[in-house]
Amino acid sequence: MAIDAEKLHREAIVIDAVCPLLSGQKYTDWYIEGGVTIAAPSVGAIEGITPTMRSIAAWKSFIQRNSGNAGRVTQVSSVKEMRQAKKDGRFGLYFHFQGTDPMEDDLDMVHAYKDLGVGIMQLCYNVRNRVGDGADERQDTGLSYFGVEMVKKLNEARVIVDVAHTGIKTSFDALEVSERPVICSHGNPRAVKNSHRNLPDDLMKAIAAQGGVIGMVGFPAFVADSPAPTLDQFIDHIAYTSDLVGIDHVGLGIDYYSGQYMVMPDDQAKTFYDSWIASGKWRPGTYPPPPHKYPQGIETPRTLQNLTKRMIERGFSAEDTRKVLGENWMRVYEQVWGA
Amino acid sequence: MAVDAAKLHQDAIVIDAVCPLLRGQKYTDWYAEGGVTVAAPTVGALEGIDITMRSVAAWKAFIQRNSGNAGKLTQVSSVKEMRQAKKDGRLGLLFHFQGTDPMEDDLDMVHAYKDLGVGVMQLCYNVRNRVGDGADERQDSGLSYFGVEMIKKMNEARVIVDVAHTGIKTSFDALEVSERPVIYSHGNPRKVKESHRNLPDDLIKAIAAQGGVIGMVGFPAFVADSAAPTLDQFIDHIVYAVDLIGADHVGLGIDYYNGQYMVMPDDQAKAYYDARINSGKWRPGTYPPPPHRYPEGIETPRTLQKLTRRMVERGFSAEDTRKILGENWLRVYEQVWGN
Repeated sequence: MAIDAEKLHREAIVIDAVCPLLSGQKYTDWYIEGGVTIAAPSVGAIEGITPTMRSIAAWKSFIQRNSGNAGRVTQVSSVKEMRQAKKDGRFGLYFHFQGTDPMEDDLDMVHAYKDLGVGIMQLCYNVRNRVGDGADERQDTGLSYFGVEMVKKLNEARVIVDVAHTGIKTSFDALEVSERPVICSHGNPRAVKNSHRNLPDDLMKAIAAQGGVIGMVGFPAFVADSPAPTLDQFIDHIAYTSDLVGIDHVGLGIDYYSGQYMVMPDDQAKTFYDSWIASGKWRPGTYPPPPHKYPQGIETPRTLQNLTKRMIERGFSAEDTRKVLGENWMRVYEQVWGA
Repeated sequence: MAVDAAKLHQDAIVIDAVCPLLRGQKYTDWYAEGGVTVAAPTVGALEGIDITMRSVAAWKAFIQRNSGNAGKLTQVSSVKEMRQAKKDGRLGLLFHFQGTDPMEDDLDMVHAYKDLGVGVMQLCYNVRNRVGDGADERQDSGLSYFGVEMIKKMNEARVIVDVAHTGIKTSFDALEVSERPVIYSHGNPRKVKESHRNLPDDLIKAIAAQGGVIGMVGFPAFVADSAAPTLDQFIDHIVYAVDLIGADHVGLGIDYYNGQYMVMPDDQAKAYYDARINSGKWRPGTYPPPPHRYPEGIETPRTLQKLTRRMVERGFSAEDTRKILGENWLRVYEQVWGN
């Protein structure tokens, strides 16, 4: 019997685990249009307590204005709440950090952010910080003493450790220290596309062996050599990862962002890009200049249905497709966050 | 039938709505010893987001370490949780602010702090701020534009507006703008003891008329001319307030603090006092030098049972005593926070 991809997508819990595009809150509509159940705005990254708290406060306020009886949005911080959001036809938001700078030097901040709904924290963002080395750094030396304590504190507070954007050695260290599954929220296999931001096979295997999930990322330079990758090239990463570590360990962390093609005009995108290069957060070898065209057919979250359709065409089973779309993330969330 | 004061105290929900003494977290034991059900650590006051969040985070971590199955503490942010804490024999902790500086210039921060459990926010602390004038300021000009928005935001976020330490005109403005009851967490009637930190009759009446509660404060200079007030002098404030506005609008906000007699050695207390004077947060006319002896018999929270005993001896009914010990606060909490 042929699988009805449209129906599958509509009924599935679809999670995009990395959504910096949502720094423009109006883009929640785009995710809803694309049939996304749960999206994760990056509410913090490489800034300290004050800017991070202002960002969280703005989100809380936005959610407050758009929830309530008639509202279409709700904050979710458990799998139960995610399933309820799906049932209610609401768009669920959970918070994640792309960095540990929001804690500054204070591990107790992990508890406070967790209470505010930050369920996932990425250790580094490309550059070195107090915790470890980033994925695009000169050295790759592993976790610092503070980094070891950070991973333990994340375990204690039931926050998911995320090693996206983090150095390979630091990532392996995190896997060793963490008593719970570790994820890479957004990164592809290096064997398919070489990049400092992608993962070597052994790291993918280690993440999977500990029960974690790797989120497939759509940023063009991490997908293919072409500046406008095809949808099939994106799905090739899913296929490769699934072959390597099993379908239970693959998810989506597409990473649509405000400076991408079809969101920001090219001239503005170039200015934005230049400032990121100048700050050292991005290096030109890893991050080529814009336009940054996400895979054809899923250039923005508005058309994510095309991903499901093409996965089915390429022979993914309904069950495996649902796992990749969201069920795998939920398994890890439940395991770390509790029921 | 004679009222059994010891049993009454033991069975009652006893709330001290203002507990800066808890800055030293070990003093939670003192409140538990004195039969307090719910204590309110002051987790923020005159400082900004960064420092306030570190304070909130330290409390979250402390509560996390001391809650759990065998723990003696629990955070409470609803009346239901307070009643449950009583049932479980745990000390409930309610976060409050003595100032609006923790929001800096960002009203959305109210939502974030509310989510962290900050259920009561005082508008000013003695000095002028962006919101209004303090109780010990040169002018008393009322709420600023930002102050008006602050009250509306607190109403929206279901945070209780507290006008302790706030100028009289600013307090009346707050009552006018607020659509919910306003409290004065810690202050006594000026008619019994004149002080900038105490309340004129018309303000007491206006707070009561809107459904609010006034918390009786034990700081010696707000109780009596004597540097070591008696317990009866403290109770005289309760009696006066009850006569003026009824037993439904009087509570406890005793304000034990770390610089007081029997907590800090006199020489340290003097240094601490001098720093507060130098910063302008305290003025010598309102705050005389230490030692600051809280009313005899209830010098610290460890012996608060004596307050109940003496109230009963002085003819307060069991019902009125329970109201003042905690039930009145619970009423306002429920009204503003919801169920």
